[in-house]
Amino acid sequence: MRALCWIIFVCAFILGALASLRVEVPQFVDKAQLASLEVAHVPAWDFYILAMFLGIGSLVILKMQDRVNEPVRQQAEETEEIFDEDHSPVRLLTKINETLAGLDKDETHLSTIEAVQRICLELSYQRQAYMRAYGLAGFAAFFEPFSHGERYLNRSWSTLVDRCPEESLKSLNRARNYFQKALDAARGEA
Amino acid sequence: MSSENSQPTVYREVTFAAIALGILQGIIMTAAFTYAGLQLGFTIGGSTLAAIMGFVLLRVFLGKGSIAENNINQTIASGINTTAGGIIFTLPALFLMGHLGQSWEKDFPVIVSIVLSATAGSFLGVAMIIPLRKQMIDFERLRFPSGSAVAVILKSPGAGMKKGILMIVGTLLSSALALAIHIHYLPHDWNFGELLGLPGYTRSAVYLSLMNLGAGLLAGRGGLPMLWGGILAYWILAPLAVSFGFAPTLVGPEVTAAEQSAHLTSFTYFQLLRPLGIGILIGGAIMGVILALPVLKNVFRSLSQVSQTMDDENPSDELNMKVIYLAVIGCFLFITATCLHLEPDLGIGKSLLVSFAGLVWMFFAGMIVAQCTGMTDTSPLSGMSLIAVTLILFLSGSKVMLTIVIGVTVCVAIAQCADMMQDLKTGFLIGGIPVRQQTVQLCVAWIGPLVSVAVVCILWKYGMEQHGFGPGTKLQAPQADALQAIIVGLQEGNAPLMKYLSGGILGALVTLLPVGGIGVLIGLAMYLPFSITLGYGLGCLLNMAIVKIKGLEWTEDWVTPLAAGLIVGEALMGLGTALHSMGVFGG
Repeated sequence: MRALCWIIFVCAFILGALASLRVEVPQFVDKAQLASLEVAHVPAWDFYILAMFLGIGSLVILKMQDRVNEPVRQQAEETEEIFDEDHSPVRLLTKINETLAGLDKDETHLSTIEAVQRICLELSYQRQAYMRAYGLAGFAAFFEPFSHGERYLNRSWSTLVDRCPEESLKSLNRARNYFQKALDAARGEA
Repeated sequence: MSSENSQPTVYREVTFAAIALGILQGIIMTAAFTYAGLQLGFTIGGSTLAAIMGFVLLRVFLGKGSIAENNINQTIASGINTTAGGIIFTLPALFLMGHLGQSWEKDFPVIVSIVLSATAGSFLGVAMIIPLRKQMIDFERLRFPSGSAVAVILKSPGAGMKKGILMIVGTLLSSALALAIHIHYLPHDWNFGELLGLPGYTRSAVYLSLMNLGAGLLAGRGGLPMLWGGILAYWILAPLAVSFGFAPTLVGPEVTAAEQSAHLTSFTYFQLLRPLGIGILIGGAIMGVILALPVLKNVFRSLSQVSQTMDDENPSDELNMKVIYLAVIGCFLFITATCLHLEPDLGIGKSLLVSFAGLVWMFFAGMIVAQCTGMTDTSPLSGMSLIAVTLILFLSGSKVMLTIVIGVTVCVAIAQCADMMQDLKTGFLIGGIPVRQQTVQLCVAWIGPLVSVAVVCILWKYGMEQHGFGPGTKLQAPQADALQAIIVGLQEGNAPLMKYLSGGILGALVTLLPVGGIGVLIGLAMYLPFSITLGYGLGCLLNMAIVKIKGLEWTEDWVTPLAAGLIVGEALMGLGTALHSMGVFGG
């Protein structure tokens, strides 16, 4: 049923676009007429309305199905955007916090920062799946502090490369705080 | 490297050296790009060059430049020169149509209005991005390929030998290909449609641009709907439209098959697909905003609370929302005053209406251009400006002078939006503080318009021929010439408004699908020639294949620096070939 709805939606879109493309022009023109050719952009509204009807109908059925049958998994499977337990935000944020916990509060280290950056990459790659799973507001609740944390982590990396360890440490500690906030928010959402 | 090994120092970020170098580079690039834009019809992004120059001057010569300091330098330089793109599309049309250029005394008040309008647009462009930054960079994680490439340049001192070599390889490959095309050793496109015997209007060619491929490589799966949109537009809709007789057939004894093919290709693109693409883009973007309202509401709320929650331990990273309110109100009042000054008979009611419509459009167009740049590195700036011109011309009752002056504001604002967002993406990747980047860009927002307008006026007045630019002269001003033709067409009632409307509804509908940014990407695919979409789409597919085979981490380590190099190489070669075409280096 879902596949059928998708096919109808795509066909409706093509029909709607084609109806929009319609113009009123002479069937034949010569080179001299071409420069002053008047083009009347008049969509084929009857076909366009039919396309809208089909498109909206198939979309409504798709959305209703999502509500009835486990919305998150259905959509995620379709778009190959499913996340397993290893890629859940709680798991990845815990991993980030644990990796950072390996450093003392007054220590910063390039390889640790780079290791955390790699976990951040994994987490941000899953964002579409998280959006579907937690809804936009739920996603924003933990992704906002996570993004702040990631930016401060990047700053910690840059400042350390620039041989400014105090600033690097300050940024790393800010990143820690934000990652902890993100973990708490993700636990709340889960 | 650990903390124990290093000397304690104050971290260099917003320094006099960074600001001075950024302003200097920005002024030089603005003047050069305005001239180049009048000759070639396009401008070049300055971030890459500014970042490399900053690296050389701040880090190598001064010996103390930091990554964040160089980021401030490139933010300022690109923020200044980005206005050239908005000016060359609009202002020269006033000279070409005879509204300016007759007498200096008569022109002066109008020129002042234009400089102030462009400056207002420039401020507003920076301010509008404040709430959108979180949405596009923090939540949607748009790639902003050029911004990511600049970040790779900035991070090169600490990124390790492997990444540095990959970036250099990418740069060399890309610039070599661009050079081979510039000297006509290779064609611009690989026209595989011709080999397969496909009609010209299917535009079955791949644009030979490694920059384009690199942008796709950075975008990955997120950019793929654009490829589907291109296939839908050029391989399904265009043949159907031609077979249904939507494009007239060229007849006459002397008409060749090549002319017929060129006519159908041009007609299906300019009269059919491009206007529909603009409509879908707009509808998709508006629906995108509606769908993102819950998040945007939170963003506005958290930005409004910024000043209340900040302290020494948790300094504010964001510019205060008061700045955007101030910019919006200031710009609104300014446009209203400009309307009343340039066209007193318009009346206060119509002036307020024009200002309101202009502001609303600036917000949407800025957002659309920033989103497209973020997803694909290509910007529908001219299409968005065209809508602005149509809107203002319609609302003002065909007042050409006013339309173009407000067109300048809109063009500069939306160009500034896209540039600011690219810079903020670079900032995110290197750990810059957004408020610092936004503040420096706001402080220099007036420089670009002043330089660019001055260059246009000087070129007109002291050009080598009778007039400095326009058809028949060395500086053809192709964009302004096109705008002039469009305005004349609009005055005769030839605007494809119904296509914008029906496309807008389609774009809104398709955006309701659970695929991020699909409406904007399909619209952009119709708006752009297929050869660009195809090259970009191949990059997306290649990225997906690499991620599948080698994993995400490997892709980030190997593909990202290489793709950044591909973007950097062609950008630098583009600048070199533009200078060559203008006669520098003996071209």
